[in-house]
Amino acid sequence: MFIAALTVGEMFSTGGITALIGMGMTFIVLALLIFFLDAMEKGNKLDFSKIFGKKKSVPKDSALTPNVTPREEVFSHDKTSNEEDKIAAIMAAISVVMRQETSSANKSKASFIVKSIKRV
Amino acid sequence: MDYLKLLSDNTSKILSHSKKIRDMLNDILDKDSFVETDMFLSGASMLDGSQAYGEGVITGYATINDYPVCIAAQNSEVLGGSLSKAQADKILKVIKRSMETDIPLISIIDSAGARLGEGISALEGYAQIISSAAELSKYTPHIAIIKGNAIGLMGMYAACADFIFMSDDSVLSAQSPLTLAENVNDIPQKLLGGSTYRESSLLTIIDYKNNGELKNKISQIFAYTCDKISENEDDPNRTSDALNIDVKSDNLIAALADEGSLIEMYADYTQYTKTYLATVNSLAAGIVATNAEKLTKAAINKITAFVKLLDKYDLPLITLVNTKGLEGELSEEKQGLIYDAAKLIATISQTDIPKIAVIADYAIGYGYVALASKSVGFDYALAFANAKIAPVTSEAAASIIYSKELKAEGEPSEIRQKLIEKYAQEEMNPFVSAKGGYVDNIIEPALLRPYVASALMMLLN
Repeated sequence: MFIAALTVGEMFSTGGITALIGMGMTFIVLALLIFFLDAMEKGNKLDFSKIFGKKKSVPKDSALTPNVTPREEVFSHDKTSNEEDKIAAIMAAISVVMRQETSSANKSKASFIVKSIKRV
Repeated sequence: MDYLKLLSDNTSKILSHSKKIRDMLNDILDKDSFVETDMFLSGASMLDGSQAYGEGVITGYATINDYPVCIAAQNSEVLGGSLSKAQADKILKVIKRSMETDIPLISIIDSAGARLGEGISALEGYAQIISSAAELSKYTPHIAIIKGNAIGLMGMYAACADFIFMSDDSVLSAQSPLTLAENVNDIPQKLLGGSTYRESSLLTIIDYKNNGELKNKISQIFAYTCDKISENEDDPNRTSDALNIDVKSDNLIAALADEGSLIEMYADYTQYTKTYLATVNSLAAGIVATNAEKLTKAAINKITAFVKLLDKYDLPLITLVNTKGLEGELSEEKQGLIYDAAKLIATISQTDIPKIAVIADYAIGYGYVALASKSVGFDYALAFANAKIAPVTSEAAASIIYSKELKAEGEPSEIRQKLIEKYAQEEMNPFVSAKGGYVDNIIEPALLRPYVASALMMLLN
C-alpha cells in the first residue's frame, strides 16, 4: 500500500498500530532480559558439580594438558575508564549514605523524652 | 443645678491637665480596662494657691494583658508632680488596696520632689508611702516605672519596688541636682541616670525603649512571678552539640533556656556572674551562671540577692557552675569577703525553693559548696562528663600532695605538669563524686536541656 494512496485517517491508524507494536516488542524484550538475568543469578548459586558430576581432573603433566601461556588481554581504554567512573560514583554514593547514617547515629540523644508543658 | 454638666466640666478640667501620662497609660494598659479612682481629690498649692488637679497623681485599677493591676501614676503636668500630703494619701490608698487584694501595683514616677509649701506634712507623706511600699513587697509584686525624675525620697520609694523599669530619659538619684551641683561642677547624665545604680547597686533595673516593649516586659514579669509559667514553643528535648566543644556561660544559657524567655537581672552589676529569670519548658525559673573566674564579693552578693528574689516568688534555682572558688585578692578580704560568702551559703540553705545544680566545668572549693552541694540544699546535681570537682585546683593540689616527689626532682616544670595532670585525671573527674553519691547524674554536655527540663518537672511535681 503506497503511503501516497492513504488518507490522513489511515496514516494515523497505521502509525498508531506501528507504535503499539514497537512498545509491545520493547516490553517483551525487557521481560526476556529480566528472565535471563534472574536465571543466570540462580545458576551462579547452583553447584554444577553436583548436577553434572565431578569433572575428571586432567593430570598436570599429561600431554592433554595444554601449555597455554596466558594471552595478554587488551582492554580498550574507554571501557575501563567508564567502569572506573561508575565504580567511583557508586562508592561516593555509598560513602554519603554511610556518613549520613553515622552522623545521625552519633547525634546526641537522651534516653528519655520530656513532654512539653501546655496550658489547659 | 445640672449635676451631669458639673461632673462633665470637672472631668474635662482634670483630663486637660494630664494628657501625657494618660497617653502612656493608654499604651501600656489593656484597651478600655482602666477605672480611675479619686479623680476629684484635689488640694491647692500652699505657695501660690494654684490648683493641684488630682493632686498630681492618677490612681485606679486596670489590666495588662489580662493581669489585673493597681495604678498610681504621677502627673508632672500638675505642679511638676510634686508630692503633697494629699498625693501621698492617694497613693497610700492604692497601696492598701493592692495589699488587700494581692493585685500587683504599678507606680509610674515622675516628680519634681516635695511640695515645699507643705513642709513637714510632705515628709510624713514620703515616710508613709515608702514604709507601705516596703510592706507591700511581702504580698504582691510592685513595679516602678521611672518615667522622668525619681529624685531623693521619691527615688527611695522607687528603690523599694521589686522591679524598676527605666528608659534613656529616666533619672534616679538620691540627692537633688542642686545639692550635687554644690560639690561637683559638671554633673554628667551618667551620674544621675540609672546607669550609676545599675553598676553599683542590686536594684532590679530593667531597660525599656518604648511603651510597647514596656508592656510586654511587664507581662513577662507577671507570668514568671504570679503564674510561674509562660507557654513557649521551644522543644524541651532540644540538644546542643556546641556544648560538647565549649561550655562558656553564654552557650550554656542559650542551650538551657526557652528561646526568647531570658530577662537578665542586675545586668551591669559585675560581669563575672550572670543571673536570669527565664523559662525552661515553659516553667519559670532563675538561672545563675558563673564564668570560670574566681568568685568575687560582688559576684557573691549578686547571687545572694537573686536567690532572695527567687525565694520571694517561689521560683526554682538552677546553677550552671564553672568557677575555681573564691577570689584570692587581699582587697577582697579587707572588704569582708568571708561575711558575704557565708551569707550566700546561709541564704541558699534556708530557702525552700527547688534547686538544681549543673557542674559544667570547674567546681572548686567554695564554688562547689555554695553552688552545687547537696548538703547545702541542692535537690538535684548533674555533672558534665568533663567536669572537674575538687577542694582545690590541680596546681595547688599537686604542690601539696606530690611535694616530696617535686622536691626530690628539684621541681622541674615537666614533672610538675605531669603531676598536675595526674591529679586532675584521677581525683577531679566527676566519677569520683558520683561514687560518693554527691552527683546524681553524669551527662553528655549536649543533653543539658532535656535533663534539666525533666528534673524541673519532677521537682515541681
